[in-house]
Amino acid sequence: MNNTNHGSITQKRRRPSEILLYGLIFLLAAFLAALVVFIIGYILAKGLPAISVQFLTTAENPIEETVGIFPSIVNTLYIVFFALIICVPLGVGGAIYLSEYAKNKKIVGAIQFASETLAGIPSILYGIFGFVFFCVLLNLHVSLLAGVLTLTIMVLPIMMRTTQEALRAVPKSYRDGALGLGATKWYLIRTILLPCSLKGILTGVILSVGRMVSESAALLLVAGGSAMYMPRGSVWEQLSHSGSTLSVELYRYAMSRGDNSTAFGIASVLIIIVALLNLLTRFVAWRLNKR
Amino acid sequence: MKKTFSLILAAVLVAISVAGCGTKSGNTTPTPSSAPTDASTPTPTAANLSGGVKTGGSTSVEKVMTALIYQFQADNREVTVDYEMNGSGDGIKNTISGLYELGHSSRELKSDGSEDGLTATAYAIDGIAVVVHKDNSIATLTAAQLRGIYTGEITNWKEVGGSDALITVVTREEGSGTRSAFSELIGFKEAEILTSATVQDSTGAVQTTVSQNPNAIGYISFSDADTSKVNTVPYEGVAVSEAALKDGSYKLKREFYLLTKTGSTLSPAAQAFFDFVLSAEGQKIVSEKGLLPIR
Amino acid sequence: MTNKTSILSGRRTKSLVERIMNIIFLVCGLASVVSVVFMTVYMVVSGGAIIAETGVFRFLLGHVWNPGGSEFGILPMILSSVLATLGAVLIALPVGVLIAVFLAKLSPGKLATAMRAFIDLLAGIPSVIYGLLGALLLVPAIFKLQAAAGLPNSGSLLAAIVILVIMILPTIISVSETAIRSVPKQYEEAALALGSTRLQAIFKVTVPAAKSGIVAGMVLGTGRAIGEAMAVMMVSGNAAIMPELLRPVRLLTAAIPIEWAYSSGLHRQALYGIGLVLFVFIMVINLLLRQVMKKGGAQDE
Repeated sequence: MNNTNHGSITQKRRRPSEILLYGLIFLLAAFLAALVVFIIGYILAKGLPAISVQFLTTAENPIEETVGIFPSIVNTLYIVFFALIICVPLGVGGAIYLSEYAKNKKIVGAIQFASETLAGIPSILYGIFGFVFFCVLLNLHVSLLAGVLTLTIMVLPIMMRTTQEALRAVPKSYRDGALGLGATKWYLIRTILLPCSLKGILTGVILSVGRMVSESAALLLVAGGSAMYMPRGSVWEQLSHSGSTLSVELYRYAMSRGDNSTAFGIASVLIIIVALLNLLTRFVAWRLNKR
Repeated sequence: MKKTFSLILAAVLVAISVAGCGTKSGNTTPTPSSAPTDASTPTPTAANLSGGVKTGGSTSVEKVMTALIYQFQADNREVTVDYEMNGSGDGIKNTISGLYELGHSSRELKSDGSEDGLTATAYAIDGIAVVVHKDNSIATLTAAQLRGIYTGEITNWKEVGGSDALITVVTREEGSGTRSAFSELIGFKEAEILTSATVQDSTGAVQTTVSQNPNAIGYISFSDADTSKVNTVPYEGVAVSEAALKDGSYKLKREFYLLTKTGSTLSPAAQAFFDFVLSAEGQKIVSEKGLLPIR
Repeated sequence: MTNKTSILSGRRTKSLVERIMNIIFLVCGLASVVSVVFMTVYMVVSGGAIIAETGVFRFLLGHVWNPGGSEFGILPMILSSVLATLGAVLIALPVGVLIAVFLAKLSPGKLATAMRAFIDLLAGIPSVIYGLLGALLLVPAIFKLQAAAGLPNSGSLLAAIVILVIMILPTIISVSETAIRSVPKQYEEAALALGSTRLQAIFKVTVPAAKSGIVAGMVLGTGRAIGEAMAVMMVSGNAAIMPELLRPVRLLTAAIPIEWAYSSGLHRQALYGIGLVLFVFIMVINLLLRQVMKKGGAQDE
């Protein structure tokens, strides 16, 4: 075991340092795998027993002391849905602008920089900004609506980035061909670019939903509240009330109430949602690749 | 693919609108008559009350307040009581400004003038329980000992009759009503609390911390104490219980308050809720939740 | 189909629709710029109040955080955040890269796919749950160390670092793996042909070639580590004292939600100030790392 020729190209035997490195890598990988299985298993083991039909479809009843997370499920659906309505067009539009229209280097640079900056800001700061701007300044108070707007800015970079990637993947020949035939830009976008980038856009939507569903810090500050009541009143009325989404409700159960088993139950629900979203991404990719 | 996508989108939209269109079609909210044991017949409402009542404030009163609101709303189907939990400080501020008709506080109003213009009405008495790990069988702690522990003068359990182990002090966060009540009752200034004490911002977090740490000590609202997770320590020889709170032998207690703006009249719905809380039925709910009714 | 462009004429005549769409897209693009501008303005305005009140140095360098006594020094928290982030990244980066190498090069396909799926799942777990698990399992595990060091059992900087490592690993692994995979096979094959072992080829050729991607992963990971609040709040003990590995600490991010609910007036403004400090930190880190990446990219050519 002659180790004096470290870089010798004639030395091909496995040296002890290499064996150690292989060992280390395998050990780390095995450890991580075990850790992941353990974490997910623990959460499900503690949480699944708490899930029942009543858990999922009713609101909490403090008199009978039963637990139900239906209101927070509805709140989550609202926030995600309305945030998507705003940020998907904005994000896709912005990406289209960057890749198809922008000539001025400064504007392109500014938008790129802004997008990357937004992506790097931690959620607690979104919480502060959302509170100061939407809740106080725009007088929306702590409400689901403020939550919608805050989440919109938060996932905007995700939508923009994934759409940009998708647009980039459209072959140049498509564009040249269309323009050569005399199409206008808007026509090109409408009939060729958007359909071709659909996979990327959908991936972006799914990623954004994932981000929104697991968001807690910002929503705690901006949309706060508890999800006590079954939904009543018009949609607009509900949006202007404070309300907690699944993640925030999880936080409430774990912290304010010390009800760990319900907290794990909600966590299990969230994990299942995230897993479904992941599967959906792969499905989308598979389906659209078949074209 | 486009078809499937638009179908899914349409389905989601329908689902949301159905879910969102509320309980007017009466669904799973149980009526009072289906509540177990002794939830008595609903208080007859003189007029058909309707409207919204905006309230907010302390998070400590959550357990009892959500039950009170639930029952009140069940009795008065047309009324919605909002309860925003952003802390006693917020509750006080927003009641002064008029944003909330009723505010919730787990501490007394400051007497330095910054919180003038409010009337605080006590509706429940809450005991503060000193909690330790399940394996810690310390018999009792006196005020002096607690003071020493929380200011850092006493650092080892053996100094107060326990085993030889360093004490982990757990406290609530700055601004907590429970913290100010506890420190005032025991007799130390909040600023004197050990700087290396673990700070948790809620009952659940304190309880979780204490339940995992054999040498920890903390204080939480008695109504939230889960004796399957932690032990409550007798204070000055008196174990904490509803009876001990009632006859006054357990001294660590504080009151929960409903705040109203002095001199202004409440809307009928808000007034009805206020009266409900102080009524026999309301007070029964208070005691069911582990607190002492004020009457 | 309205054909407004004549391929015979040199200039394009833009219809009204064209112009409108152009403007709409421009507005969409500017949405992010507007957001960042507003955010910066409001962070500065809201956070500036406390700085004006207590002075920059007393705020940033003060040792004592005692809102009740109107003392707002955040130095211990700044140091705690810096140490926690540094510690987490220093551990997660090599571990992450090694595992990325494993997934990209050394593991059988099916195992890699399975592991990747699980790692993605790990990334989606809400931070509060990490916090809860940390409080229930991780913190007690560290008690023995603390007892051995003569310290009381509590949440600790160490617990915060471990939790952050677990939370940023998925990010670092997936970005690094993508980067490693996109290095052309020829590099590695050339090295092998010259007689190097597999590991030598990977670590001396492929990984360096993937450097810019790996650094990107590091940037994302750092951002996540420095911004994590909920999980850290439950495992670090939240004592606003100067950081030590086995003693409780309070990170900047955790300091905000923990006192948010009850704060008002000057106290609330102090929390905004902490937000501003965090904001500045993150901007600075982003800019610095962006510079590093640019330089690194230039060197690759």
